[in-house]
Amino acid sequence: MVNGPVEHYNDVVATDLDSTYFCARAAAQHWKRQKQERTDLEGRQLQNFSSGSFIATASMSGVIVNVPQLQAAYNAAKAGVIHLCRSLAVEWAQFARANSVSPGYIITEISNFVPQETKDIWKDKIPLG
Amino acid sequence: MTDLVQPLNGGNFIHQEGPGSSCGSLLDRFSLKGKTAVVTGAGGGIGLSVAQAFAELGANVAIWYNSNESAHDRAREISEKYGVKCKCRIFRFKSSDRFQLTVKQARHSKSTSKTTPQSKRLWTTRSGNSMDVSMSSSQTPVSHGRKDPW
Repeated sequence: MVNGPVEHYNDVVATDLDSTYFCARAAAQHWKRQKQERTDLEGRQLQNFSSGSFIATASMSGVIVNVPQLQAAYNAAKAGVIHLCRSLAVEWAQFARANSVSPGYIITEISNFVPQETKDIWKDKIPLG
Repeated sequence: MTDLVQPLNGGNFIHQEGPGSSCGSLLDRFSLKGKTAVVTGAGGGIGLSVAQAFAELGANVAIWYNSNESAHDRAREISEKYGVKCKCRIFRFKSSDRFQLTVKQARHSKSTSKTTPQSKRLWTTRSGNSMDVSMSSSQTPVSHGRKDPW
């Protein structure tokens, strides 16, 4: 972090935290209107709307600090996502729910760039290996 | 019309009237049949799995992707496999401007009944449905500066 590029911090926060905020905001405007007016965008009566549900993908990194990789920006952004959702759950109580999910390591293409030896270090720390 | 701006009144939460929701069967309450879900970052990885899960539970799914062009094929596959509507669209949302535009277009089309903007199709999937679920699953991994820790 000390010598890392600030642009990378900005990029991580923009994608992982800012975008979640914007997405939540846009969705909530629809849910609030749907709850109030009970119609879709063309004015037709909604049949099955009860309340909205917002789910943000956070991360275990929002709760713990990963090792050996040090990633303060990512961890901070994910912690932000978790508490954003807690705050929204209260703010939206009348028309939508808000929750976050914090996955651990998941094998997807997003971690393809990580060398196998690093992945082995992660597995060393996972009870189910 | 109920004012839903604030969950609070005089510092206290607003009380609900009557009993809570009575939706019948517990299994039915897990079902997403007839609901509409928007999943961002659903071109691959966790987001794609979520989109598939929502579809399996009966939801119509709008897939939003940032750069993963294979999202189009995945949407087609979901639609065919689960018999739900599944559409996808590129959407970049690091800036609030685009989101504001989306909402504004949607509102505009409601009041004027002009042609349906694409963004609106994704929010409502053309079936008179509400938007019910929004899953934000877009990610930037920390991938730079690893020599001097990430």
